[in-house]
Amino acid sequence: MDAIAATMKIASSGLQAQSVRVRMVSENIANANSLGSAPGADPYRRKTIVFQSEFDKVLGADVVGIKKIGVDPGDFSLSYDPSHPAADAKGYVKVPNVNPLMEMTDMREATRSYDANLNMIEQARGMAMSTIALLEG
Amino acid sequence: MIEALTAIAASTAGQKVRMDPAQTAFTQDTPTVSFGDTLKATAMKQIETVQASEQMTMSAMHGDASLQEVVEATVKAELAVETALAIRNKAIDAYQEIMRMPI
Repeated sequence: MDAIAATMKIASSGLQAQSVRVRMVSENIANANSLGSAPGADPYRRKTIVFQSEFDKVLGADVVGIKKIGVDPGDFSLSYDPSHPAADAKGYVKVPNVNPLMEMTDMREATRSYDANLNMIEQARGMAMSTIALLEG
Repeated sequence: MIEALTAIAASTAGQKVRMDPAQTAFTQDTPTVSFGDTLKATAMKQIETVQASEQMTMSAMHGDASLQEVVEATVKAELAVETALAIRNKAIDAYQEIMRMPI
């Protein structure tokens, strides 16, 4: 395959990977207050994403893929709220292990990476366009 | 698209060799693909690219394709159309150049 077309395909895989990452961050943020419903039940557990490079036979190049969407095994913190249905015998409710600061950092990183891949597509397009412009001269 | 260009370049290079006066007989040549055939094949390929882009846009409307895939296909189609246009203009220029020749 033509290298410039391949570049666009690879960058497109990066765009898709990063958009899944942003989706996951939004899941985490949206569920930051999702608690359990039964006494002592676990609340929402923070999700994590793992990327891996995948060899694309048609392109003859490595594209990025999603290896797995896992969960953060970190401990839940406790908050005292005896009136909540998920409160245990002592009146404590387990709170999701989502840290908004961490999610924001992750989101920023995803945005930067998305921008970088977008720039890659733009550059490849510019290169192809100027090559075609040679014909018009 | 670029490989299409290289194909055309290769084809015209082949023709140049055939026109070379050093080579006496045309019959001795190995049969090469004509410029017209290459152009036709390239055009067909580019039509396919544009159609693929249209299909991708349609499936995006149905919610089956991602935005990134649509953009990628559209950029690809844009480049294909630009290449086709450039080649067409070049061909017309060449034709007009010949027509202007005093006989």
